[in-house]
Amino acid sequence: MIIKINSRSEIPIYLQLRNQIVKGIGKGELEQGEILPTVRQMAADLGVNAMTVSKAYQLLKTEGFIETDRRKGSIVCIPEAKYPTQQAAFEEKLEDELELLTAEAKIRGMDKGQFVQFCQYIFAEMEMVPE
Amino acid sequence: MILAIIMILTDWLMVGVTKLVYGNKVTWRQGMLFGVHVPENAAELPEVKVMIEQYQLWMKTFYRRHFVIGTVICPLGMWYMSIFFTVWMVWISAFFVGVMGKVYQTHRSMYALKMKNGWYEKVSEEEWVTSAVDTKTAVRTAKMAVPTIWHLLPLVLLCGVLLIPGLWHVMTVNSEGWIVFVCCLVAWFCLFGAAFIYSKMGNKIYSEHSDINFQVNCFEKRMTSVGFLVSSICNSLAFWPVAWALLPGKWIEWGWLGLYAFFESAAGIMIIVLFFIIQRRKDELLKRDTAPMYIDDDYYWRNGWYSNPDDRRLLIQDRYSSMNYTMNLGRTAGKVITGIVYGLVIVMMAGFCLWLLKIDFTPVRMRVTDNTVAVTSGYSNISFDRDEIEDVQLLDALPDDNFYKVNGSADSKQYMGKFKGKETGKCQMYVTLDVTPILEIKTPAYTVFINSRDKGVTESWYQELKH
Repeated sequence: MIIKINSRSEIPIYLQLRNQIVKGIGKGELEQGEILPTVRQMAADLGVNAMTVSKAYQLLKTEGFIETDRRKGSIVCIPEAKYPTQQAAFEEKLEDELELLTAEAKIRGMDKGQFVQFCQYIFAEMEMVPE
Repeated sequence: MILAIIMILTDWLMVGVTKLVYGNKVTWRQGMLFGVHVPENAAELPEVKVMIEQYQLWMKTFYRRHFVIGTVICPLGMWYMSIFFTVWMVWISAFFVGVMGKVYQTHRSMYALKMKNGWYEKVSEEEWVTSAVDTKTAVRTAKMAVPTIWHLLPLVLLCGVLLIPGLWHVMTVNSEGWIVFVCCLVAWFCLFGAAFIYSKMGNKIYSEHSDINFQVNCFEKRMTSVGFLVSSICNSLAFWPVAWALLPGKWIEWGWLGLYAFFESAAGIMIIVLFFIIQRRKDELLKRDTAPMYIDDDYYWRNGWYSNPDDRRLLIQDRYSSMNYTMNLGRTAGKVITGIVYGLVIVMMAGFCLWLLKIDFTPVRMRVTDNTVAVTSGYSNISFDRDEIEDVQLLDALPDDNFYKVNGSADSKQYMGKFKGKETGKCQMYVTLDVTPILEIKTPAYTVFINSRDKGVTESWYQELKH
């Protein structure tokens, strides 16, 4: 997967990195068990501070998108839905963010059909095949 | 004469290599023209065609002119060394300022044209891409370079020679051998440092296809790291013939020096050859690519040099020559290092010229007192007790001996500094070659050969010492 970063964006780099990796997993560009570059290698390739990459990896680990293997390093994993606490937290976050996006869509004159169509289109882009 | 020939060859090499790197960059390559990302068809536009023609014409005239100047100034080395080096340094500075000035100027014009014609993806500031990483390539290339620990091998090869029985003792007596050893050690440090810095550098993205990115980066990393290691081994091996020649307790002869020069040249040639191999293979791989990817960071290169305060990297691959690395001037450290390097180069060049001028144009003087004799010159000063003098003679010429320079200056005009003669042994020379007579003063530690450019002065020194 090719991760693209914009150092001039207002979104912090660690968050951009986190979001891109999550999108990559969602789109199937990063597969379960795939090894991610080490913090140093990722930082060297992106030209960012190693602490920034470390912060992004830490966040992804907390959210269950990656796990650390002693020999392999950071590997991609898909958070399982069977853990109710994580699932509940995600649903709460989804509701919160969707509410805001829906509000903005409505303010900008988008109807329900258009909004759902957008969601369907984006959802279809996610080619990840859950196990 | 030898110096003049060496300098002519050096000048030709420098002008030739610079022409190869900067003179022919007029084709659209890796998404860029004159180091600016533009569409491939941009090269067909009339104003770009004019720019290319002007650049080619300017470069052609410039290189021809400097090829001639670089050749013509070298015979000055047969006259005064100081004048030659002063002229040579002015010439080489003008040459590089001229080349880089034109490169930067053309780059800026191209960037201005790009902005004027809107040859960039019109995206919002939020959607700009300033850097990218190919995760598969990054994971796989991490172990492709030869580990820097392998550089211990050339270090062992170099230092191990010192364990040869008797060599340590010979080098203690013949301290000149240490100069060669230290030079090899410094070269080892430089190659090790370059390999270490290179191993810490990130990969470059060329394509949307991971396989292409992996193949290019893997080949580049492996070959470059191998190049550094082999060069370092050649550099270490260069000391072996010197050590072998020193063992009998004599100074190295031309044959052994030739072997030393061969290994040291091989170390340099190795890197240049590998650069061209890497370049060719890279071009072959990229030609096969169906989805090239260019990160348009032209904004940070808009002045001709890289300046991006958000980029943590200090060393960035140059746009004109992938073998070159340039400093990120957006970072304070980059500015400081660049300032120090340029400052040091200027100070060292000026200092070296002034030092040579002092050697060439400071008259040799000898002051004889009741107890001591003191010799002063533009290079070094010595003094010894009159009691130490074993013999004083006025010679018509230097003894028919094979003198070699240990340090100081030796050209067609003068011998100045510390020398060694096969028969004479250690000596201090303060001799203008086309002036006679020459005063020879023998002491237990060394023999002094001295004369003055002023008529009658050498004879008066002789008289003073005799009485």
